[in-house]
Amino acid sequence: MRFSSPENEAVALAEAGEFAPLKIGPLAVWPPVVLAPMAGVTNYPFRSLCREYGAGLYVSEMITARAYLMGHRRTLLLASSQPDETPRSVQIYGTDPKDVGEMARSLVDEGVHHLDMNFGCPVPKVTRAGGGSAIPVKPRLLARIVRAAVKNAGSVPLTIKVRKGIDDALLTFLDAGRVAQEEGAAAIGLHARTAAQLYSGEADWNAIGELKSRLSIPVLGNGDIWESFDALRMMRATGCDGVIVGRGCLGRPWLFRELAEVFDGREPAQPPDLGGIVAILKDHARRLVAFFGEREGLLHMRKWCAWYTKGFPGSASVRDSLSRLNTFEDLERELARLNPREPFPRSALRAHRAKGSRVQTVALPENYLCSRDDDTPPRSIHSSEDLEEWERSLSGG
Amino acid sequence: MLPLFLEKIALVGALVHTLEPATEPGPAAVIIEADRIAAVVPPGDPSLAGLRTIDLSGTHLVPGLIDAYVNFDADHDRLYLSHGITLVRDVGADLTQMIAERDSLARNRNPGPSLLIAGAVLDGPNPATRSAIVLASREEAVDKLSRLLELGPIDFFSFHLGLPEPAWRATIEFAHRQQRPLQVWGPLPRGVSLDAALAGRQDGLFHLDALLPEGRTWETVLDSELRAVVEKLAKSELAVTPTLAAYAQRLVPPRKDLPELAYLSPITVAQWLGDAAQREQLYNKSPELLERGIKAFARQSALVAELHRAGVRIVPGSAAGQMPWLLPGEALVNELKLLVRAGIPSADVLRLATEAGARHLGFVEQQHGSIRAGKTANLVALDTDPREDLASFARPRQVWIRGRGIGAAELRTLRDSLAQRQKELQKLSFAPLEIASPQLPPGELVLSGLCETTFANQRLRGERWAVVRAIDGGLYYCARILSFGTASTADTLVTLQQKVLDNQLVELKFEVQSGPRVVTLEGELAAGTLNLQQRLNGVFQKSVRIRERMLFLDTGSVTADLILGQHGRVGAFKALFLEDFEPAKGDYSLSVQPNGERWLEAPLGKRIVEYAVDGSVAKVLRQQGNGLVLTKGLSAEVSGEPSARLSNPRAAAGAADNSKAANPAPR
Repeated sequence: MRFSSPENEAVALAEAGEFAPLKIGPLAVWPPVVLAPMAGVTNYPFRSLCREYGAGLYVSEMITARAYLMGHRRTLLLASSQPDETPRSVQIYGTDPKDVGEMARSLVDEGVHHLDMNFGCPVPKVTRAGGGSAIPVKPRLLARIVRAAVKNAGSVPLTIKVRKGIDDALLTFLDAGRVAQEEGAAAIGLHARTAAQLYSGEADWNAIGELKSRLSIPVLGNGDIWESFDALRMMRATGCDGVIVGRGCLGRPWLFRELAEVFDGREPAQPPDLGGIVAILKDHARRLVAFFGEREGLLHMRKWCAWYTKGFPGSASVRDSLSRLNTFEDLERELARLNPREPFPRSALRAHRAKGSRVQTVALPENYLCSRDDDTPPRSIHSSEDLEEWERSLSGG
Repeated sequence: MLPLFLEKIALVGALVHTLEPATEPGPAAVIIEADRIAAVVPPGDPSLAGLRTIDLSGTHLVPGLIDAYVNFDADHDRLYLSHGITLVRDVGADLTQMIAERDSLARNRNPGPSLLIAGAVLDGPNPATRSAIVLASREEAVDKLSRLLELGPIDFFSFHLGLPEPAWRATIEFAHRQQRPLQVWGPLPRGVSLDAALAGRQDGLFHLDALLPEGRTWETVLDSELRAVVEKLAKSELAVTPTLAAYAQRLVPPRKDLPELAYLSPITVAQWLGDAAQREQLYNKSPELLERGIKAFARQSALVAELHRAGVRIVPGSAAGQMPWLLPGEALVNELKLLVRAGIPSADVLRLATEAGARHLGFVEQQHGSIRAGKTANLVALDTDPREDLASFARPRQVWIRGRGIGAAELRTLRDSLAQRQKELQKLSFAPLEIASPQLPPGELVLSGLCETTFANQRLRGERWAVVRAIDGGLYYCARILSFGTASTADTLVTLQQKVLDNQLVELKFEVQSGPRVVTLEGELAAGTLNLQQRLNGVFQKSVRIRERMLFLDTGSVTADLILGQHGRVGAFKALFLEDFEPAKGDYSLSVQPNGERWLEAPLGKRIVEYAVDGSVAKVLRQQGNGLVLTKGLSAEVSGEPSARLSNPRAAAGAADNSKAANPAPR
């Protein structure tokens, strides 16, 4: 019997030829699955782990152009990769066409295969400065930024990712789609929530379908892919060309294996039990430590422990001590207290990981809506102090 | 790519040449933390426990080389690193750009060597280069040098030989008086003898020519005279950058098919090929010149060896970026090889280009030159022992620049992508110009057009301009100017609007984006004073009040030439120009030729302007170095009421021109 939540019990597996590989410029991605850029999450260690389970395109976390250009050490590390990572994909965040162009150029020089740009960030500090999801409010500014990136990316495909809009009263995704297509973006990803919704409520898959019906470039759907079957349902319901998996894979890298299986028409294997998860968790911890060093790697590990063990009965007390661990030995000791034969609970399948049910009023710059036709980039960071503060406000965000 | 680390790492297994005084190369581990050397410890030291290690077994780990004499160009960064050069000293260029570049954060973007800057080069009246700072007198020297230091820290002063003696003296006093004393380097200023330079405590000399006694050449100078020079220098602290490679490159046929030319900007290549052609002609006409050059070089080499034996401070530098056929990076390695060939042992030459070099450059030694805890982690891993063979610097195994490791393969990739960019730039130069129209003020559009500026057949910038007649009869001259970037720098956009009424600049709006800085200069005439406000990234910096009549702002935009055609009167007048984005009042002088050409003497050099009958600019010629910068009108369109049109500058010049009647001067 299929291991899924009730809404997915009857979902048919993909028929041969039902879905085509996702075409992003010269790249053909199969299965048509993209790992969403997530701050503090989709660094090289996690991407490399996911890649071992499945295939697809795994995008780096959002890299701020100004910080990258100013040589901020941590930013360079987060933007970095290893030779085994092909295709290599980086998400750029920037509001100034000049910066964005320069960064795209530099990444292309380094041999990147795909670039994505984030125009969906809902963080108040970002939108208040006129960045992130505030940019599509000004389509001409969006166009300038995308144009600069596309021009400098040359033959490397550039995609953009947006949200539906600021809130239900100010939807921007259709304009953004038009701009992306006009300016030569290779595809557009839509997180079918508004910035005001943050991560709450249900994603509006209808919006994905609407965007798809308006554009000739590929459209990627994002929002509420918790199980592999959700991806099939989304593509069938909306006609979109691929899916972006975000929070659904937190603590569940095997979701990518399941996605590969259902797209190839095979029933996915059972998820690992707690013993299997502990093994993955340790592997993940080793990768983080190898990349960030022990101190920083284990700091990262704290949130991962919560995600990996989410929904397992009796894991709460261990989770509490795991959130304070400092050394690899701490980790191993605490994990040893878990029951390895505990099966994966069905209820944990759709348990939301990270970001709650909070909604917000999106902060925009003063009089922002009065000048929607303006294409002046907002002021970007110039000093290294501002930069530090900026990076802090985004990390883990 | 070598991994980036946030924590300490240890480079182990190499034979470490610390170049610290009184130490021999030996096995050791070098611990790096962020961009510094944290420690140098014996192999197996307990402090290595738990650290990540990079295995450098079989290599020689040495401090990165110093090139004490370059003209900085971000395009050259990858070439310096590819030759193990981790510190370059720029002898003076555009100040703002240099200060922005020197900021280590900016430098990291595109890993390049650490940089020492002189800011702008100092010179006397009629400076040799546009970006020079003119110090005509002692007073001016003290005033301008203080202001120069306020703009941002610089590392030493560098001057051209036109610097007047009193200003030269004042510069040295000023430099040595600073809290962190700065060195002063240059040739011998005109009228200053070597003895005077020694007594005046100049810190360093560029090129051996400065050592020739007055009136002597390398052919006529006597051995005894050179010996006397060596003795004098041996008793002094004056350092010398001989630039043997620069002399030597004149004596071998230019390598026109050199694959490395692909790394250079199309403009540089065009200049080098032009130089090669000139040289070929010269040597064909006078073959004895080559013969004499070779003899001179033998004496120059011998002199350098003597200087070294006598203990004179020699600081190797390549003059790359300044003279043709000196490939950045390679030129310094050649310089080192020539020093060895002159008779200085390899081990000594290595020291000159690292530890001793840093010491002789003053405070530089606190950060550079040797492998010591606390210094910048600028290191090179070589496959062969540099005490025996310096050529292996041309193919380092790994280069560590401010703690970031770059392997040979990555250096190769970086060079390949540089070549690719240069190729694209070359193509771009012939693509159609795409520049949006400038924003127009209220009034009637009377003339608009497009022009481009080229140098050595390469497009430097394009400009879309427009002239609008305002209700009050004044004329607005507006432009958007796109300056094309290089392989390493982005395009720059300038917007400019100047209004002229009664032959006077009455309103100005200027904006330029340069690196991370957006500088704006805006203002208008009120009660006879032009009040300009300067803003940096939108933040008010200062106001400048100008009480004299100015005709225009001269920034390389064709709007100044358009204004000149309409409002310029023969003789002297004043106009604004920019010195490092600072508005300065310049003396201009205009003469009109019978054919309608305007010849203009301007603070930044002479130029010749040719007009079309509709008032647009057909052609502007400027001299830059030994080449000509050409601005050419590509298109112009007359619009609006015939009565509002511009006057015909050719007719105004009194030249025979049939269109005079058809284009009545409105005012």
